[in-house]
Amino acid sequence: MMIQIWILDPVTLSIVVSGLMLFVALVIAIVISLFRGGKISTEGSEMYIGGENEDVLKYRVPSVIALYWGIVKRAWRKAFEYLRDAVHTGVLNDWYGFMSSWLGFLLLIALIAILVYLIM
Amino acid sequence: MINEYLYTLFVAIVFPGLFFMIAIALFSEWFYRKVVARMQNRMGPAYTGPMGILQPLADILKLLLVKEVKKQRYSSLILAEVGMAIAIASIIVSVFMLPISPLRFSAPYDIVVLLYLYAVWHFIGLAIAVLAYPNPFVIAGLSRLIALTVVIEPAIFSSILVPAILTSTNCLPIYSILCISTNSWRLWFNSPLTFISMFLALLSIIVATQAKLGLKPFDIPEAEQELIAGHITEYSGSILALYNLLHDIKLAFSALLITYLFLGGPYPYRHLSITGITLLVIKYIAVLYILSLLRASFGRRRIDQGIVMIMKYSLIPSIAALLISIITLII
Repeated sequence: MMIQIWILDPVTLSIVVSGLMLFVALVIAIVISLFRGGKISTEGSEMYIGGENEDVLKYRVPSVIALYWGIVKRAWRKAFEYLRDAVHTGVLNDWYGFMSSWLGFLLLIALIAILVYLIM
Repeated sequence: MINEYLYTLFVAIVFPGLFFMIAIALFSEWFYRKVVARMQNRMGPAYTGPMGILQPLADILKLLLVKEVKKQRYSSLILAEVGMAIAIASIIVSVFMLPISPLRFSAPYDIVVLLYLYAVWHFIGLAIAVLAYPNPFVIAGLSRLIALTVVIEPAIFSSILVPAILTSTNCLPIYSILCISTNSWRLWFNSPLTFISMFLALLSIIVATQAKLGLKPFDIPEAEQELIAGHITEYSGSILALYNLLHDIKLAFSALLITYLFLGGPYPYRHLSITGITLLVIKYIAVLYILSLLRASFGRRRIDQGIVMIMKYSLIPSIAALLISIITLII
């Protein structure tokens, strides 16, 4: 078997592999639509909600974002509580101090990165 | 020129593209089911083909050719199929960057391109396919999947960075999959520090892969006792066949990725030698065996326990490995 190595630049590689991905996806989609034929069930088109009627959905349910934040807050409870207590003390100066110290820290990292880049 | 196009077509469709990945994926599912069955004192697949090896293929074909696909009132079958096709294709194309492909695509820093396919496009395809069948259980499952992905992907990225950093001094193209794969086996013997960082990174990527594949103890988005089937509640027929195939292909690719990036694939031997192929197969089977063993040894965790577990056994070890590898590089 003939082995070929294509050394490209990262942007060209991204374009080439994305193009190949679309081609393979197209082949899969065509094959599946050919195999599936007309076997689409017309019975029971309602949503499956554990046997309930769709009317139950009119009640308020947590949004996706709320579910996501709920999970994050439960898993990262300590970090979340620390941040909340640090930022939300009710004193404006605390919030100002917290935000400026973080932004100052980021600025410091950026300056160090620039210096390292210039020196190296 | 035409020959080159034909060769690329062969690589994309036959080896190591669509057909090869489907074959290796079905074998991986059979092996995984056999190991799990053995641990649970069952037979596992036994009747279709020798030792039941054709059972996963029979399952897929039955779903595809015999079973009807249910069209729900709010669903879009075409969108679900397109999403699944994108998710499967993103994994298949990722294989072209591994040295198993006779046509190897490489570039400096191509680990980012690999993650662009394996993490970003795969997830986009899956999310499109899942949201094509709207349902409260599906939304809850997808929400859990997103929460897990937020922790899993950084862990996978930092684990892959470890061999990339350690091989970056003496190999070109820098930070490339090709470079990491061909040199990673040396890192285990270089020095105690490289050994420790490789071991931590390997541990980390195995746990993260287990979670990415949704295997126990991380089958939280599908949690059948709570969410029916979570993000795949409404799937049936051909679309369920595609989902199962996607899962198997992801299993096979993840095992291949660990085999090449952390265990060195067939190296120091060549691919087209008996010793090389034997070594590659042994490493691949060992990775599959560990993933199956973990799957059979744990029960499902709650979502917050699952996230904490991934952070503790995957994200933190991978960051520690990253720091050790940077220290090794400086020393």
